[in-house]
Amino acid sequence: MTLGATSDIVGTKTQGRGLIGLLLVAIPVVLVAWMVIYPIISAVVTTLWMPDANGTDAFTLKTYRFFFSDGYSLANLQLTLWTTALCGIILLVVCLPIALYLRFAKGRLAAYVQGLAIFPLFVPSIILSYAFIRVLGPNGMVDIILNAMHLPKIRTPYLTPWGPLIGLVWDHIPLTVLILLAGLGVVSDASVEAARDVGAGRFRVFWNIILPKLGNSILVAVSFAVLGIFSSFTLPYVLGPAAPEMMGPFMQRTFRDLYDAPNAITQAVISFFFCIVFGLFYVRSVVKNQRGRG
Amino acid sequence: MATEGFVARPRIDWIGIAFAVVLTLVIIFPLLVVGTWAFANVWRYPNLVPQEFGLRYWYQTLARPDVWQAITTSISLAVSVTAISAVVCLPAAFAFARLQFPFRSLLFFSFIAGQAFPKFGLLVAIAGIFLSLNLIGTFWGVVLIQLVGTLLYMIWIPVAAFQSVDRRMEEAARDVGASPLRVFWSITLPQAGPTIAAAVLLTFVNTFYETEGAWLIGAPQVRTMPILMISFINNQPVIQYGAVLSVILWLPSFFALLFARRVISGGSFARGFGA
Amino acid sequence: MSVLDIKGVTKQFGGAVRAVDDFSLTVGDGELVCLLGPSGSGKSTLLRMIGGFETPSSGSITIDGEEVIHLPPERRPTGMVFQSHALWTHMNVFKNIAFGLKLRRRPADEIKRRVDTVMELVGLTGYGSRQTHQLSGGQQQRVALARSLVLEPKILLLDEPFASLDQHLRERLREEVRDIQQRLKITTLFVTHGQDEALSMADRIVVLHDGRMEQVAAPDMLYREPATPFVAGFIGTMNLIEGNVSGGNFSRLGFSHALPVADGPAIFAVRP
Repeated sequence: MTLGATSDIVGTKTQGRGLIGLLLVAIPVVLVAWMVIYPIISAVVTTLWMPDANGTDAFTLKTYRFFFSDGYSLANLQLTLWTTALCGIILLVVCLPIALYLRFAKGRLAAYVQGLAIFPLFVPSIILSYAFIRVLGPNGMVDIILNAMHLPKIRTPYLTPWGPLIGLVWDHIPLTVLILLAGLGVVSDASVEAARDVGAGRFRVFWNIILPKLGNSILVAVSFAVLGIFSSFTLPYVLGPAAPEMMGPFMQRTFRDLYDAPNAITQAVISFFFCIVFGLFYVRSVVKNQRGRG
Repeated sequence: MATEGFVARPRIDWIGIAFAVVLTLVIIFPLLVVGTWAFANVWRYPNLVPQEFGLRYWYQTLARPDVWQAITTSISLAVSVTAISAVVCLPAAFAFARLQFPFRSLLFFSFIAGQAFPKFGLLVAIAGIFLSLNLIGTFWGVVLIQLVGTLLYMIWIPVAAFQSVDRRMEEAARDVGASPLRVFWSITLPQAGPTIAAAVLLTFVNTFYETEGAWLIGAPQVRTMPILMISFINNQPVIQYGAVLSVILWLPSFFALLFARRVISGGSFARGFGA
Repeated sequence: MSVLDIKGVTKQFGGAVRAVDDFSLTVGDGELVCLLGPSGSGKSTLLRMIGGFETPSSGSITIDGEEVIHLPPERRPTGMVFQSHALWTHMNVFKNIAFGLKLRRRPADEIKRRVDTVMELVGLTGYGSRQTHQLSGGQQQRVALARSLVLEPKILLLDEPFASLDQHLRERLREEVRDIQQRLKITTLFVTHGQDEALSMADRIVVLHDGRMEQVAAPDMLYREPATPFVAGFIGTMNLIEGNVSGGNFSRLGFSHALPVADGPAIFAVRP
């Protein structure tokens, strides 16, 4: 879908149509400007321009300096970076084989696998958190089964950094698979068959034929996952440890429990900064896709 | 890559079976466990299955006032947000799809701006603004923040729907005498209808489950079902309440699954995410 | 019952390309005129201008003496049958045909009577409650035709309506449409790129090439006396021999033939 040519359907008068169009899109556009663009600019400005010791507003980096000198804040940032990176890698390792399988397999089994891969989209994170605790938590289902088989207990990932990690991977499987599948759709059956015809085995087909075309989709999937995981709140809050915590729960606590808006907003700007490359890349991809089609 | 014609013996799809088994375990099994808990009157460790099944906790959960209050809050929030979003976004979608006006492309793509930033960070930035507007802890503050989350899909999906209506059908209607407004009502809207309905349904469901904005802006005065669920997880020693609430909470998603599943499985949905 | 008068119509789509170049034609009452030409000759553009879906860059179009250029399609007394039939898939056959009458607020019994009559005319009696996707290609085109005819338009416009049908069906529908057109005596303009269609249906044929009218004549005239080399090559099969005329004799290599035309280079056209 591109924003292509408009149809003639609204009549032959073309003057005055510009005004009606603008009026109709006014409210959503104003909402985006007021609630997305303005807050971002405001966040950066208010954290850089604050009252100093005399009470007058001046350019200052004090909240940023605080963040980067505070051990606790840095530990949270590090945890977030670690979780995001590891999640991204695990997601790729898990979803790429699934996507490859779905691309080339047909039949009811493949349809069932696809349905399963998409299913987490229909499970809200809250229910996922609860299910996680009931299965992997203390005295959870895994414990019960291991006990029944007289096997030793494993330590529960609940309330450790692994908790949110597992949950976030589970949550992001559907969209990652879908994005990779859409990217694989560009690889034609014919090109794969031609490669096999000249003697390429499965691995060579993947490495030389599929991967080059898939590169962009992988980057898009990773960017999308990073943007979602870096500042995610629900799963880390419920499943993760109290300290260190991920940026999401950290920001929430700073803002609501500590009533410390300036520092909370600083943390938000810092997370913008860490994600900016992925964010720009992702947006550019979407825009290019929308433009290039239809 | 299925071979047709003569096949000596059907090949067994080992990889597929492996994926199916693993994914069933990982995805379906946990939900089955929750479902079992919801119908367990008594389930004490280390039993593999509940000692006693029953509906006791269903009665108890539905008798709780905080549960009902959360249900009404969630539904009224989701309905308000979806209604306002539809009224505000659908005419805009039609304008983007069919009318010519200055900055059309730029404004259309401006809706993706929010996706470039980590979501909760953005919410905190918005919360900073809300603080000075005294919108923290209010119903309409939560409506506003959830509304912004709906804009992208309530505009882009209907635009695609409007643009895919066969122009010849509209021309044929004008040929038999329909005015442009009548064409929109009798031809364009019914043709674009199913996709737009799917978008509205998805918006309702997503708003219903929206946790982060509601928590950041609304808690504790405005308590939605997801927020109540979190408090059950953290503070509630009786396991079954959470299980029953999970099952109740899953209902809207179940309906979305029934009606929007085909839309989501199609390639165009993922391409909307930039694939 | 109506006369269509096209005067000096030109359509320019940005740049120097003219889709239709200074086209003029008068279609008489009850006549079936075919617009014939290869792809890109401007015939569909011309038809759409008459129907009101494109605006001419210059020129005038009058129906029964009234200028219609400034009228939007819904107010023109024209009825168009599109190549892709453009049936409304969310309505059944009856509703598709009745929609125009409903817009004109005709009473329900009148609508039913008129729709039933026209369905019988196109051979679709009893198909009223069918959904559009349940119909075959030929049946869908009949519904499209019925939808236009039920409103009794002054000018009927057909834009390559049979292009997507197979040969056999095409020939049958061709005869039926011609039959209906003559019975109703409705002035009709028919666009096609298939000459056998034009030659068998039309009272007159207009041959178009690159937006210009090459010739307009009755089918047999067009066949026997083509006015330009393009028409000669386009209609029927023709051998075209380039050579020279001198002293009343056309000659090329060893071949010569007496020809009472002016001296100079010439093309000798012979049908096999």
